Amino acid sequence: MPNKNNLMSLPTNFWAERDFFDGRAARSFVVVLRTTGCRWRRCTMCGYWQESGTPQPPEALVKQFEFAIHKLKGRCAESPEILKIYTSGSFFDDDELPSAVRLEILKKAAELGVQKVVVESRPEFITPERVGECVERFAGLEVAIGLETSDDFVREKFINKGFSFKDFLRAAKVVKSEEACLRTYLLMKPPFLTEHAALEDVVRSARAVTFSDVLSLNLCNVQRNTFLEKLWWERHYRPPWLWSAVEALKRIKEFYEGVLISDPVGAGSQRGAHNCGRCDKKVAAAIRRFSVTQDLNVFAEMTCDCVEQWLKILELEEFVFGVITDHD
Amino acid sequence: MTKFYEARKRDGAARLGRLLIGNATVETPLLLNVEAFHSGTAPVLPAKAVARAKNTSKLLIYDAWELPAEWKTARGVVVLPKTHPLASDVRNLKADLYVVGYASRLLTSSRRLVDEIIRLKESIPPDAALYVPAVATPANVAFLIYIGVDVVDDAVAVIKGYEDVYLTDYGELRLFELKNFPCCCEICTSLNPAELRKLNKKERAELLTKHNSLSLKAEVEKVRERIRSEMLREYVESRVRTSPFLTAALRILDEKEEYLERRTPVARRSPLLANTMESLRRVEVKRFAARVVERYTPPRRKVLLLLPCSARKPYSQSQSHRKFISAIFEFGGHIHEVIITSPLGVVPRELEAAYPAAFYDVPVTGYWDAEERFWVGSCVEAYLRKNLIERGLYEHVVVHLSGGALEIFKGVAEKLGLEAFYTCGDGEEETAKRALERLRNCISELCAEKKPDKDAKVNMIKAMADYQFGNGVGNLLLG
Repeated sequence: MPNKNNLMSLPTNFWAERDFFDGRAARSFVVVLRTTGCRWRRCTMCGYWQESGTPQPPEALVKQFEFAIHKLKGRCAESPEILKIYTSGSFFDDDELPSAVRLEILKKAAELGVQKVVVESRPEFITPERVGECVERFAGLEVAIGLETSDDFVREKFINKGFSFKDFLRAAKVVKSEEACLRTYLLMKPPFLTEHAALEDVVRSARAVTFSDVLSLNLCNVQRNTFLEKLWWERHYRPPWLWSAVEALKRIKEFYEGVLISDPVGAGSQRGAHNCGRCDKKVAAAIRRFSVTQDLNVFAEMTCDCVEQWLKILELEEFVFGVITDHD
Repeated sequence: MTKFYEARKRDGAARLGRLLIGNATVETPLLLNVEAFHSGTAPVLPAKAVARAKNTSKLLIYDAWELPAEWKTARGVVVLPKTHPLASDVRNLKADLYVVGYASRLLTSSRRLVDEIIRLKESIPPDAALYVPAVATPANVAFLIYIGVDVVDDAVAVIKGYEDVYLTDYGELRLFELKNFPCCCEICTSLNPAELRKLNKKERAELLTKHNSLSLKAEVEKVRERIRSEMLREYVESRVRTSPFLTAALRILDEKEEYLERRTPVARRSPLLANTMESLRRVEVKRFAARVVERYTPPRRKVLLLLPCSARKPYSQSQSHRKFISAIFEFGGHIHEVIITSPLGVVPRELEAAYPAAFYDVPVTGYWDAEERFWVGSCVEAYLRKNLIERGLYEHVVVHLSGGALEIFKGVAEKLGLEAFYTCGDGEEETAKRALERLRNCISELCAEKKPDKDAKVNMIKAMADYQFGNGVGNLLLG
């Protein structure tokens, strides 16, 4: 076991949740390893780099993983079918996780008996060699890439993501040809887009990446110590309406045949996606329900007075040369 | 130089102006209707919304990077905040109408509202119009226009309608707390709050939005009218009372002396009403006090006589001043009369007809509050330091004051170590027979021989010329 007095040697976080898998809501374990963190760490909305730690020897990283799994097994009687291994950075960045550590962790995942392992990476670390050797060790590998939007202008100017749609396509092709699954993250409402533009942007982006096995709609939330937080304090930004997320899911589901999911992180709070305050819980729950059932009927007859307000904002915000934030 | 906007009248930083759009002119302050944006019927439209059409009958608002090279019709440009990745230097953008991008940030604090608008106004041409979108409410629009905003819209009024908020010129009310509508617009006279609440959300929001927009429109009309009658400052002082945010904003604005000094006319045709604490900090008040010290040179006289002010202006037309003048008339050539008053501080007799000395009014109760005492005291002190102590223009000081004005003088005299003759007894009014008697005796003793003031008129004209145009101008004109 890692030394508990040294927090930096513990995993950043770990929890159990449910995901849509094999046509039903399956048990999954999530482990966020504390590595040196994302090498880019310049995205306007992302504060995850703050969870990174000091460089650690390979054994320590494996121990973090074992520690989390041990604890999760203690908490959760049901054995997991899915395992998500995140790093607040890139799984395939050798500086974060050396190849040997990646393989060792995947070996342990196989021993755990899970069907699927999800990892995340920026495209520049995705090579046939790195993905290939991992798939060889564990066949049900799914690689998630944070594309955020298919619009290079928005990604470069407003998100500062540091890679192009072309870079993403190259990496996606590698993932596919190495026979791993591809999960694509789209960002619902990057800064400086109006509610309406954000909705159009996310649907257009989904249309551009329909080859993804899983599409995850990430509702932008305001994390601490980020550029986005500064914008939010200055009333330059309002997180998306949950109605926009519902609308986006409905519209994407019309043409997209893969698994469409969204985890409304921080929904209902001022920093997260929110509606009027009265219906937030209900709508967020429906979005979570949709993610594990893929059934659009969860949104049937779901409404609230604030739908009219949201529609009005979609219409008017184009004409205020900025954003309509919530008023005090 | 902008091409299609012209400011035609001003009151403070507020302007009445004309924007030439196509062949039509629209008047500013201008209230735009956001629904008309959406339907494309507004006189002003975002260029993006007008799909490539060469529509010269509209004023098009461009993003900075789309601003066309040729400038043949009135146009607007969006000024993005520094935090925006696409922000550019506003000084390089040429347009008739400057639109504040992400204006919602202005409401994060009173200081920010004032600082950002002033910073923008200082960096755009003085003959260009400023549009602050999605900020105006019936309660704040008077202040926005006063600080120099020329164009506003009803976006907040509409959004508030969808939030079940009922706007009034004194602030926001929740529809669900209203028993009656405190308004006579077409909506508010057609149904009552209970009936409105029964409607479904969409119908309710549409009616509420209509009222909110009408309420804003009525307020903008009032403000235009107040500019026309040159009484906007007084109106703004009363309007900001409804909100600490706006009151703070007005106080912060009053600190920006340079900004206001350049934009406030030297004279208005309306009276200056000093009804509030903020009145003491008006640029006209500060300007008058500064000019009395900096531009005005008093005549050399044996006696400096300090007198109280009167309700009637100019002072010499009032009953009380007629009594003072008749008491000292024969010795006028030895005496320089100076009036102590709030909020102007010190008014030499020669300047009593200048603006605002002849055109102000202030509530008189006999009580002088600490702010007034401090301000008037500082004016009296500055005057005495310069003209009595440094220049040595007077031999004696005679103080014909009572009440608060007397206390203020005594405080200054103690601070400067001055001796003076006091001609009002304890609790005695300045116009009391015995006080006037004492004044006459004191003056005749000090002056000994009679000497009428023959130069009074020439001195008045010289003093006015100096006050208006600068030190020494009076002598240049009249020798």
